[in-house]
Amino acid sequence: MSFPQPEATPYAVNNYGFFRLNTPLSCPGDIYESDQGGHAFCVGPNSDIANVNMAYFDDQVPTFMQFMTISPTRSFTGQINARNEATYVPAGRPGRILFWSDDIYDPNFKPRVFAPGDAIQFVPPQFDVVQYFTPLASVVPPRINKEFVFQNYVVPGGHVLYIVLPYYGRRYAFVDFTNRNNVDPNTFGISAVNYAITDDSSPNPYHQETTILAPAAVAPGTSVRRIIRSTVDGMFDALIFSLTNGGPAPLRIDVADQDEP
Amino acid sequence: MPALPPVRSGKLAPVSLDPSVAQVRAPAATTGDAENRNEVSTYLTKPGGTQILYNADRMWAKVTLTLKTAGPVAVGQHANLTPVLSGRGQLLQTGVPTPFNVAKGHRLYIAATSVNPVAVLIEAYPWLETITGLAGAASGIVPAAPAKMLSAGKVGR
Repeated sequence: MSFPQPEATPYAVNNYGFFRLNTPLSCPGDIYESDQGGHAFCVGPNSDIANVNMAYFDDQVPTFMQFMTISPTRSFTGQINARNEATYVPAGRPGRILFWSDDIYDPNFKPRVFAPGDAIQFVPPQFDVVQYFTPLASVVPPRINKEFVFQNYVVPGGHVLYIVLPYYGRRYAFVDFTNRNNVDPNTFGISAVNYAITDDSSPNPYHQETTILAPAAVAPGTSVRRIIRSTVDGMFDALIFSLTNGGPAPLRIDVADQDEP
Repeated sequence: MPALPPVRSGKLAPVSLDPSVAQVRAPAATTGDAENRNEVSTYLTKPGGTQILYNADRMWAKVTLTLKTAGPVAVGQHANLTPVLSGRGQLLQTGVPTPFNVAKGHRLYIAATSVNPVAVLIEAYPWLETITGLAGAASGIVPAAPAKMLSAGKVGR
């Protein structure tokens, strides 16, 4: 998480009509809080996390903690008070509104084919939630179509570099890779993963991996294009791109929530 | 020698300066210009406890409050409004101006569980003070005269 954690009160004091919790996710255990009540809640435009869990104070639940999940297809309108004067049981923590990712993120993930000496880089998922302070009839929750661009890479000599991109809830991706190194080929591949709760140090972690484009040499001056559709390839938590050359090799990935953007 | 400014009477009724004598200030029969001025401000609620939002020691006033965030914020004339959701005060609705008429000698209290901006508009009722003052003065004179005349047996003769 970013530090210090974004707080809702400065948004309220400065007369913003909303509180935006926009922070990179560093581990799946990050829990964020808001000490302000809200009239509507939705996934923010820049979120890579698709499903966001919310907890709020409810007198009718034994622990006083009620849960709800919002996503790009389901926001929530209705007043929820931050019950700062009350406490959850048995933790004894103030009854604020809590947010955390319902999607699993594993920063220790390594592909099955990961060999000693290989390198892996993660684009950390952005956790973006918007809490509105004023009543709204409805909230438009879809996320933006994100665009990721890479060009030069730090690849260990004779090894493979893996780049992991968040893909939670996305239904479409366009991948465009061109080898602009005029001398060496670049072995390029695409796979995807659905994270599992597992021990990454074990020889058999439980993550589910799918090969989308088997690694193959891309000759200098040539390109590879691939469209990934949920109806054809499935839905994944992350996309994994593998390369063997430092480039230059422009790699552009557009992701969208709709299968036909 | 320059002319002295005209003598103006105070806007408050005269009171005794004897500290050993308990007294209540009488309503003023006149108003000052400052009392006709509206007060416009934004109040930031403080989490926990009940705070005094407006103190009507000298003047009747209409206090209009508009909650800018979700709250909850309770307002009332009891000194203890907590817990905020207990019903001891009225909960403000977001974006809805809510007027309260505060009589002289009373206070308006506010309580919240978080920091919330509340738009405050205070419109004094100086004429109400004046009317009360005049009515009080008149009530001290009018009933006394006929009673004295009647008791003297001089009416109708």
